[in-house]
Amino acid sequence: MPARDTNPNFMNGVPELLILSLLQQAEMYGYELVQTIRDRTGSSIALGEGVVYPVLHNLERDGALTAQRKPINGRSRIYYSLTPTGARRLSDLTTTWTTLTTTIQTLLTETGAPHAQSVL
Amino acid sequence: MPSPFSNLLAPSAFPELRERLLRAGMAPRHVRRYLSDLEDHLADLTTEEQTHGLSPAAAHTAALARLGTPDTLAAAALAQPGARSLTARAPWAVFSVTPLALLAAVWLFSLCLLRLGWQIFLPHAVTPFGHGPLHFTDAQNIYFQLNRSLYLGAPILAGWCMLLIAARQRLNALWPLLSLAILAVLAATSQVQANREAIPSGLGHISVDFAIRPAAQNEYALVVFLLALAPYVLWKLQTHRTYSA
Repeated sequence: MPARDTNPNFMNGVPELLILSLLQQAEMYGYELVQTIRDRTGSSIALGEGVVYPVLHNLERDGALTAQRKPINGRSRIYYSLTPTGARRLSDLTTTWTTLTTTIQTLLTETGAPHAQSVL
Repeated sequence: MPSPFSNLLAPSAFPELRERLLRAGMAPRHVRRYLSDLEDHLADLTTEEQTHGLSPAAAHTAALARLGTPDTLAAAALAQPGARSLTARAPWAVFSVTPLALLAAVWLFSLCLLRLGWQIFLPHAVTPFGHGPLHFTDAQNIYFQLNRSLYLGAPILAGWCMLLIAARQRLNALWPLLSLAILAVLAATSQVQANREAIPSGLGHISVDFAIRPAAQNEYALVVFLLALAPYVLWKLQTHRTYSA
């Protein structure tokens, strides 16, 4: 089976935003996190599922997340949860992302791009 | 008997990705954690695909596809800041400074033991190096011989540490060879001096001097170099056999 096509340029920074956003609501382990992203986004964000781990590890190194190993159903899982540093990072990323999308939306509306209202 | 380097060839579900990440300079501990997470994730995906009715083999293939290609997975890991190890970023520093620090630490420890043994076993001797009619009991002899072995073996131990670091990171052999050369030269040119009459108070004085010595020292340097290099050569041969099989 061929690997799914992904959109790496567009995805820069997005996995981090999604991960922090979801972990703000509840602690999760990697597989659970990816399935939640897939379910919540209706599979519109296509990414190799393994790419979340470098992002998780980097956020953990930066102190934005804490990792805790827990035995669940006979298997050991690493649960990630948001720290105050992570909450601040999420706030910053959300602001940046909102500003960016608003700017692009405004630009598309002003230039009369077709279906501008439904793009973002 | 397993090789001391055998853990460097530990089986992984992603051997190609592991080698690629290590060669790209990702720290071995980060690689290990990443691959461990990917293996767990792959197991979950395979189970999920099997619940959708796929055979185990088809489920495994589908799970691999969902996980991402080796290119995608490697790029994601290497794109993270801080993923590259210091060894990969500044090998010249690691392989020149670390062996010096290791050797200095072991030699300092050994010289402290020499001083201690001198005070305990030979309190009236001018030097602990056998000038005069010194009659060591067995325990004393063993103590000083073990300490001598530690001092003489320090360059080899430090060399093995540097080779282990290089092997874990899959580095070019040039860097550990640089370390071994430094260590061999230091081992061959060093000489410990200990004399109680060197300072007026008679407390005793221990120092390490470095000087170019007769040709025999060149042979000693070569022996140190080869002894330190031997495990690395064995590991390379084992690696070659493993990947040729």
